[in-house]
Amino acid sequence: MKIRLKFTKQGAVKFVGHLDTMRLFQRAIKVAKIPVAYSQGFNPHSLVYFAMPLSVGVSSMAEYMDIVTHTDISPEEVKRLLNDILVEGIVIKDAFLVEEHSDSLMSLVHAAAYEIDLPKQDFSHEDISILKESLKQEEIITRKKGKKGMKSVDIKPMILDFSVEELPNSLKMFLNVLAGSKENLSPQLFLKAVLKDEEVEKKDIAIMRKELYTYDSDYIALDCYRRKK
Amino acid sequence: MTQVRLSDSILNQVDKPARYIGGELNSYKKEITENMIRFAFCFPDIYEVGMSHLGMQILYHFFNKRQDVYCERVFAPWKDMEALMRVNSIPLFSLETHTPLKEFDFLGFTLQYEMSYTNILNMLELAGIPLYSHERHEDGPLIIAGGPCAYNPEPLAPFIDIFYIGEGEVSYDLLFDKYQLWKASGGSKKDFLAQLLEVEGLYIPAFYEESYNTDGTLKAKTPLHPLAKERIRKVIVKNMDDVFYPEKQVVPWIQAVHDRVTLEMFRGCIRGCRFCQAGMIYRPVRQKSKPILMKHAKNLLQSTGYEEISLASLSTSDYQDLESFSEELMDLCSSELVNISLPSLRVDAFSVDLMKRVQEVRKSSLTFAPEAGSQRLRDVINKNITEEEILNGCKLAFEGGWNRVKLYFMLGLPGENTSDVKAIAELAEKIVGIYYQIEKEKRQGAIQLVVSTSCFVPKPFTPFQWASQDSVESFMEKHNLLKNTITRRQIKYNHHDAQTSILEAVIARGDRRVAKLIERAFRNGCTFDSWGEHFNYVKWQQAANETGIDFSFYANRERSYDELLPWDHIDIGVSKKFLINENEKSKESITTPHCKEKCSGCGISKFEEGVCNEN
Repeated sequence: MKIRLKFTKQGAVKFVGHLDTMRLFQRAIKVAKIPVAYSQGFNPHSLVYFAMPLSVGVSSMAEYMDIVTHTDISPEEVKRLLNDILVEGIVIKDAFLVEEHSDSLMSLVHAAAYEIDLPKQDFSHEDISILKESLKQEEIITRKKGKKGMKSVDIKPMILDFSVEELPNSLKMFLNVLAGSKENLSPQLFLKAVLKDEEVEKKDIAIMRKELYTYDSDYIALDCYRRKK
Repeated sequence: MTQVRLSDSILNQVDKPARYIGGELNSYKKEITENMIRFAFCFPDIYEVGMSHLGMQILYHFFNKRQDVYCERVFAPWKDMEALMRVNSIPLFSLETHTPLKEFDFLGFTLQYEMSYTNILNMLELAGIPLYSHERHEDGPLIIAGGPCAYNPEPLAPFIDIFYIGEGEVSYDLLFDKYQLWKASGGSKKDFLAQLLEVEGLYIPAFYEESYNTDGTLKAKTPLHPLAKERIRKVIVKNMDDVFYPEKQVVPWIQAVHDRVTLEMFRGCIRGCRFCQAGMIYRPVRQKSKPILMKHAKNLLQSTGYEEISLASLSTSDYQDLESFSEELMDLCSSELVNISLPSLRVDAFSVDLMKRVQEVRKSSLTFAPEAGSQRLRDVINKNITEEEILNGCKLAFEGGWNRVKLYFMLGLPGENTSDVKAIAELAEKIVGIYYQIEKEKRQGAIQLVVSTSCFVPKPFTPFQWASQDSVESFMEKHNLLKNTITRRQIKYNHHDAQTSILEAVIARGDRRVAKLIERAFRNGCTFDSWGEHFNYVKWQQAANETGIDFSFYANRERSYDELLPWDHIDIGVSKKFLINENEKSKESITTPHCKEKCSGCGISKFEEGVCNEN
């Protein structure tokens, strides 16, 4: 059976990279004695799949993974077993069955929601006006590292929704963007483009992934999509 | 208790920030109580190196077993992180609770290799702790150091309060008990250190003084306290089946150098290679029984989820029940889809057979260490392996489907001449020849043979402790000679840097004066000296000039048997008489049988445990 998990990655553990997080889960699944299935062949690997890599330093309330098991086990049990041993900051929030031969998680992802906090101490009024000005433009051209070196891209079509709220100590941005294997806008590239700052990473910015969506005539959060009873 | 807060912007700027966060699977999170002893286990290298170290995993869990001790881990920050810490005045901190090192009761450094010593000084400086013990006064932690390099403690003596000579499981409980009593009594640090003079295996360098002859050699090591012993005897575990072994290993966030379960099979080695310090200081051989090993293997695989298990010892093929143990382990591992890795095998038929059975599917490369190219020189160093055995071992490996072989040799061994160097190339070529004698159908494409040479470093407590080391020039000539003698294109040749090896020799056999050299090199900017790209010989030479330390006095000078050696006050159980006898035999290429064949009376039997007391 295929069990889909939604988990958080918050606090210091956000500095653990995607591959290392995958390795942690592969080991945690063994420690938790979840009856995970293995691939056939000379180098069998456990059938565990992740939805979309999360950049180092970005936290998340909505990471997704699928576990294929060789014997039946209730999703609630998988959730409990993993939460018993997992590290601080990674918590399984939801677990549900999906059709075993359904589309891969990775191919489902079409959009992502992010919340970005810019502390006011690190950003001037000038920065904020640059940001507001950028977003008004018809196109937002920035440079991105591609397979053949740096290339120019217009990120405007990849922004689905954007709003900003001024709080006493920070600027809070809500951002919905295209995500996944076809078209993907990372929040870091978004910030570089709208703030016109190549070294924006050196500032204290908190980025949190809030949700991942698939598209089926409308955007649907992955935890609402084709849950099997 | 203060906590070091690392801002996201700092962690976002460094390579592999997961090195600095803590909180891994199986790490300890304890509530800190008032009477808790805070112990910072410090590994003077980066996270990925330190997390691979078995000794740290053992002691971390051994210490934390006590409710009144909280042991945390500390590693050397990589250069990018160090720079940001210095700019932002962030003191060095522990991973578990991010506590500044200054606030600990103990800092425990493990001394695994000499070239990590500048990192120790750097870590103390980053912690804001004075380097010299006499500058530290009453506040701040006590600095303790152990591990193989602690057997010659003198080059670090001015920086360290307590050296622990021997195996950690033996005396630490007593040390902690005494610490609790002392803390309650409100005495001075000096009182506490004096109380430790009666604990077996502890050496308190502040209670000793070195004096020197006019020719620069050591004149005396004088105890300065009535309770300071003339000789400090190492402490060892008597029964390996009863000794603590962790049920868990901390699973590193990022891939460590050795990222797997480590199963310690035995301590000590029966072989007695004359260059090998581990083979002498860890005597006698003490094995774990098969049921105990299987229990540990199950526990550790279950608690870590690792996909590989490594059998650790100085010579795994010498384990007594290897045949039946490996069968049982293979059953366990194949059902759990776990690979077995076998380091440190001898080049004999038996080992190859074992490799074949263990690695049925994936054929990694085979590594053998003949150490010397000619039979004569292998006899000089007592390697006790014949050319026939080497060639036969390789033949079996090739027939078993391997086509990648690594061979390790040493250059500059005592009594080596040019024909011995050339013999390395000849042996390698013979091995290539053997490969092409095998039927083509059985071969896996072309053979890849890698010959690696390291530079011999004479080490304390070996039969070669009196020997002269080659000069840099001589090592380089030998590198070139060997490179030019190898003609077949299937053979690739690598060699270690000679300059690093000279410094290893200076520090390994150094006395207390060498501490100044290490400090000066550190002040000149040397850290991470074991990392080729960061080793700076010119800065070390500058430091030598500034401190009046002559490398050749320590590295190239042959000592006489009656010279007082800086480590003579440490008693490893093996007698000096035995070492002299072995050195004399080496000059005539006479070998010594291994401990199971015949006892050669090295002196270790006074510990009344291990292979010399079996039957």
